[in-house]
Amino acid sequence: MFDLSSLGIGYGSLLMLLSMIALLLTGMQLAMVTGLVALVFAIGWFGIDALPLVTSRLYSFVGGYVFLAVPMFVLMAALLDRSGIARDLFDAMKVVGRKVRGGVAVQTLVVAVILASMSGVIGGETVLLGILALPQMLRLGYNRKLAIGTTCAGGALGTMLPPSIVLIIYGLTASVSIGDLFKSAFLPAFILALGYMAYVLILSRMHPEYAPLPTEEELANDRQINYFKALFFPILSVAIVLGSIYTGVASVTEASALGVVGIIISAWIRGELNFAMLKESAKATMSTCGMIIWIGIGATALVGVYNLMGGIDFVEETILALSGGSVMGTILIMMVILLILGMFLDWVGVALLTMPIFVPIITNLGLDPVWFGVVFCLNMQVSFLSPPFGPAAFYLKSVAPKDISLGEIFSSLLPFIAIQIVVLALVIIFPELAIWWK
Amino acid sequence: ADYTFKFQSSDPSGDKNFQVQKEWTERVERMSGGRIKINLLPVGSVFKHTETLDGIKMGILDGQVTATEFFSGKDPAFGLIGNTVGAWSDTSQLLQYINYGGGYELMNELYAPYGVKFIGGSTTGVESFVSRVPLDGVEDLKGLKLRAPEGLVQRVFAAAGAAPVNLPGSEVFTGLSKGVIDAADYTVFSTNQKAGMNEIAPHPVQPGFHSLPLIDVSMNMKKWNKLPEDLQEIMTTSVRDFANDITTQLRIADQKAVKEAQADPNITIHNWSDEERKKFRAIARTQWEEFAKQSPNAQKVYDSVTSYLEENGLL
Amino acid sequence: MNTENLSQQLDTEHEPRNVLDRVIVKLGNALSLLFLFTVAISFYEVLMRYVFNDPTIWVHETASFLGACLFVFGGIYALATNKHVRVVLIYDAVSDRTRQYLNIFHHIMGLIFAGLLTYAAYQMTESAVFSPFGDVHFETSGSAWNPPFPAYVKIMILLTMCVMFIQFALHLIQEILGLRKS
Ligand code: NA
Ligand code: NA
Repeated sequence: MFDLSSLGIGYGSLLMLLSMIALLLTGMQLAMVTGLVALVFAIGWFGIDALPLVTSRLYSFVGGYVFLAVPMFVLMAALLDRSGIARDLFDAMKVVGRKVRGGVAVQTLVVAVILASMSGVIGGETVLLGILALPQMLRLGYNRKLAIGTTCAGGALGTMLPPSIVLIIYGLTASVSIGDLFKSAFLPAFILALGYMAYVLILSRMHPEYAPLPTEEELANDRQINYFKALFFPILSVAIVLGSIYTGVASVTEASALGVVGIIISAWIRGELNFAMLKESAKATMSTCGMIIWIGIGATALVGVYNLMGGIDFVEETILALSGGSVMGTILIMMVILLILGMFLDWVGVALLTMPIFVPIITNLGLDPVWFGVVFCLNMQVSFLSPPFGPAAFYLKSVAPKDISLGEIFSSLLPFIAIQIVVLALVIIFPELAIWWK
Repeated sequence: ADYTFKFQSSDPSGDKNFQVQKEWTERVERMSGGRIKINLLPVGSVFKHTETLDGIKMGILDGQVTATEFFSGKDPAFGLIGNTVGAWSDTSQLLQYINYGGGYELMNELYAPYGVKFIGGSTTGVESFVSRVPLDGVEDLKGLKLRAPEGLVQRVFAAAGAAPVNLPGSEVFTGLSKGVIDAADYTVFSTNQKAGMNEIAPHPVQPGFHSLPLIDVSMNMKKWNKLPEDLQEIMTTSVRDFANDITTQLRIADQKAVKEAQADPNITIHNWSDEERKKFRAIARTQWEEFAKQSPNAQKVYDSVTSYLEENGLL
Repeated sequence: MNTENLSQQLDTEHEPRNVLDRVIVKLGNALSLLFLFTVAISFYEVLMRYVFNDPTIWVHETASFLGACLFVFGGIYALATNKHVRVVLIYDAVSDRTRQYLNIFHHIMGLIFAGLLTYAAYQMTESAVFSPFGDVHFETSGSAWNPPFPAYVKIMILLTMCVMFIQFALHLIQEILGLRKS
């Protein structure tokens, strides 16, 4: 076989990236693309004896205790979806602004924030909001782009606000306290959510036709809400998950399991629990996990092979050479790399690829790895929305009315990506926004 | 370079230990006049830390700088020699055992079936014990809720009457500050002090009494055999110097941190008497015995370590 | 409310395509209940540790072990239901004929992927099941409890990769037959 190693690490890296993008664009499964590139490079660079490296990484990856938080969070979202808890919560939040222009969009974002503090994976929330909120806004005659963008960007907040699987994985890779990361992410997450709300309100003031007010008739038809019932259970679940993490009673994985228990008990008290619901939720968890974890498997395989090729030193040297050692320059290069990778790869892949290289550089520059975790998390917010690989958009597409195309979703997301980048810049320029409590 | 090797470390690249290991690789390059070049990879970059032995056996990695105890799942013998919990009160005791007391030969015997050559052994520092409550001897361990990693460490503490809890390293600080645990097996004193552990748990036991890992530098046997004798000698000797280097540097850092802690009126450093250390060792020994039953190799380790300790009056 | 929405990704076909896929889906649906079991034991652990002061030694490892097996299985489950994530901007835009060719290409690549993984998994599993002396010794976790989970997970990986290889082969045959028909 052709000896790829004669290319040298520079051209090797380029070939790796190009073959990955080319295969991706043919529509091949992401997990297979990264995995296959890893396998081919392992053989081409080191020979057939190097192949077990890939399965060894597969084994190490799936056995990580912390990854158990993924199915727990997915299960939580699936249960919220199948019980009436999320719907009640959404209806209760009508108080936020039924009579304000853009009120339903703001209401959607408020619900997004509450759901985000229960769950920590991307997907569940986007789907929930896509079912609960999007049809309402469309029916009221909201501007389609505004409605789609709010739903999608709001749904993505799940991994920005603690608990968050993105922060958990970062904490493990960078060996910093996950509790500290959670504390630091709160304020930036709220700023982001407030940014979205401000955008919605300003836009609907400038273009009143974008956000019609409900008619008298519609207001009269509002269903009566038992606020206690609607709010008690979600707040209880938030308290269980975040409370057990912050008091140190449970590890994050355990806390996510407690969250599932909390929601099961809530559904039971509400009289909604049945075995079919549990079964359906478990099924959904299986297929979502298969998908998420295999993307991680492909990425971790690729990272292992690339590291063995000498990729760590190469990327590190390249970044330092390009930035000329300047701190801001280094960060900007990292941001560009993260934004570009986020267009093509899933966040798990991006984290596994870049963090082992970036975090030591950040620490050596004397910067705070906790702060960088928040920055990374904001980057991943962008990656959820940015085309062509935008998971939040995919999730919304799966539940949106048929006439909404993926292209329309992506174009609706552009202003929200802009807001994300503004908040990202703010946190980079003012690290205190994240680590004020230190 | 005539020989280019890829070694994987069990430490992350930002870590002090990694830096010292990297300096060793640079020294090897200079000592060999550039004939050997070792690329040191951080933990997990290619293999998970428990999988590097397989990686070397298959010839994917050339070598490793790692804690031997990570291979306990392959053979309990590695768990026992890798961290003979309670056996060592200071680093020189362990290094003496490895270099002059039979440890080197035994490690080579254990690694031979895996096609791995044990070049030499090192260690870090005796881990200090972090505690919220005063601990002055074995008696005080009774009922103590402490965090300890799984394996022999937990067993020994359980045998001493404590209640070991499994907690990931990243949760130790919160756990201690919230009083979820009373004490923790964490890491060396200087790092604990820097992390603020001693402020929230102001009764550290220093020097510690429980945990001193064997760090081994080893490589693929076939590749070792291809090295000419002078380069083999450079490898062996430089590893012995590396052991001296890292333990000394860590001791200096510890001494500085101890001084700092002594100046802090809130922190009380507890140092166990030789008597108490021996008592703890005796309890630990019962667990080594249990462990030794798990494989013939583990029994060999037990015999070797205990006879060394007995000869030197440590048991 | 839409019951399949969480996992539904794109407007592609999600039905199992042959007997093997149907078996995998059935089995996967049954196995998925283990996620609930994992929740239950994790809850039990927290309860034992903080209420009764008596932590278990088996929950973390059992949970990780079950998770590992389910995650690996999830790969062939998602393959059977065609739920692996793809970038479809081009894929969706091309003609049906071109898409058929693309599918054949994907399945050939998938076959290579699964084939190489099976080979690699065999190498890995061999050293987890046999000691270097050649006798059977299952690799254990090395913890206080010390279960042979590492060996089990590796065996699970090997089995799953074999199934995945057959899956890709069957899909490829179906694709080629489909191309002939049209
Ligand atoms: Na969240
Ligand atoms: Na993206």
